Amino acid sequence: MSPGHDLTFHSMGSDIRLIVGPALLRGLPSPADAAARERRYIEDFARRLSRFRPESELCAFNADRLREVPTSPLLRTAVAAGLWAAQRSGGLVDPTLVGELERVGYEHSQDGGTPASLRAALAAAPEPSPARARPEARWRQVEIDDEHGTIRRPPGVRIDTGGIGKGLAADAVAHRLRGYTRFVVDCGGDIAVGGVGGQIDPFAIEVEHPLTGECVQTLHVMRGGVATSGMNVRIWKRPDGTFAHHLLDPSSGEPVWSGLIGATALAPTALEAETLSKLALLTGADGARRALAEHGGVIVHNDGDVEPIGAIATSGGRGSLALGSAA
Amino acid sequence: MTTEPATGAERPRRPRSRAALATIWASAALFLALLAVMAARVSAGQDPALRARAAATPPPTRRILIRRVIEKRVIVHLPPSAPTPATSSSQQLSSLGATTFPVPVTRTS
Repeated sequence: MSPGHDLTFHSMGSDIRLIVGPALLRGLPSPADAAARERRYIEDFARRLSRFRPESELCAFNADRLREVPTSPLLRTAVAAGLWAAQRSGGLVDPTLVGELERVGYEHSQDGGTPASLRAALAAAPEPSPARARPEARWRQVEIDDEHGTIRRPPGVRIDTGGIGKGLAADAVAHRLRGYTRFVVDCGGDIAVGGVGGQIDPFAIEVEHPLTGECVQTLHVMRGGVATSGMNVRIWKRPDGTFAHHLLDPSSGEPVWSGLIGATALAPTALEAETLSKLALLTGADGARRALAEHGGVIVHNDGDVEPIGAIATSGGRGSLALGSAA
Repeated sequence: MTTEPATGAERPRRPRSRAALATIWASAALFLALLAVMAARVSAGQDPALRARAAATPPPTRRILIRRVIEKRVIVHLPPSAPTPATSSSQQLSSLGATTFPVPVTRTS
């Protein structure tokens, strides 16, 4: 039996890591070949769905003046994932905030740039306040028509797959690796784990503190998704001296200062974990406790205090967290 | 015209009716006698028809199979602080491809 393979590369503006165990069946590619294949898949995914590449299908869609635009199944799936996240979060994780993101200064990829000091930003931040959904939800006007292969939306409504795209990519690759004994798909902190091996030897996943970089919690996960959202990486200083980051309050279009600087969520899928971690960060401590109660999670307050929630709080992060359906 | 011939014709019938009557009575008596004998035997449990059938089909032998199921259950109590995969499962871990790669980290991306 061939040993597993661990591959790390850069894509989607983040570090991507694939850990692939031995194949369950003969005839499947070796773990190294499977990892290389999935790397190509992720790079193609990023190339087609990046908001920062003018040649991407997403940019072409956003620039199209037609109300109904023919699209590929991949783009329709990504937009559907964004709409699902909006629905799941009550409109707080809104995929239509492209204009607002550009207005606060997130017009270009910040990949490779040096983020501003989070401590300095917190010192200058206004009083914590949870985000609220937009009364006129633009995302509700977006319709996906798989039968005709199109997406309909009012002209001018643009989509950003953003972090939701990373969660979706992690889940997609995990699905493609289901013939392997165990696997980890880490798309920039949005992690999907699976394989029968995880049932016996749960995966250990460390949660990094957004201020200190230390491991604040080790989660043992049999299968499912883990995702972290925070404001310590994509944060910058605006020309007027104020700080901004990429997590916006949909009601105001401005960066949210909810009293939390990081949130990690567990869920059956990486997409849902990504949605819940963003929802937790946007709604502040009280909302986060509600959002993360079902599957568990960890939040980090402005002062750096770490608060485990749900199953993690009761287990202390030890033991195994069985996530997802039994199938 | 006279009635003589008619009177003369009834006379030879009498001896024949008496003989027939005697035969009938004898037959009835013999029948009743045989019936009484047979009824007595049947009531005594000596029906020849039943005895012959019983001899032709011997009573079936009933076989009863007794199976004894023995189930052994081994209950191992692990200390509550023990991490989930016990060290005894190391063989399974290696066969399922557990690796020694660095632990994945979830962080802000």
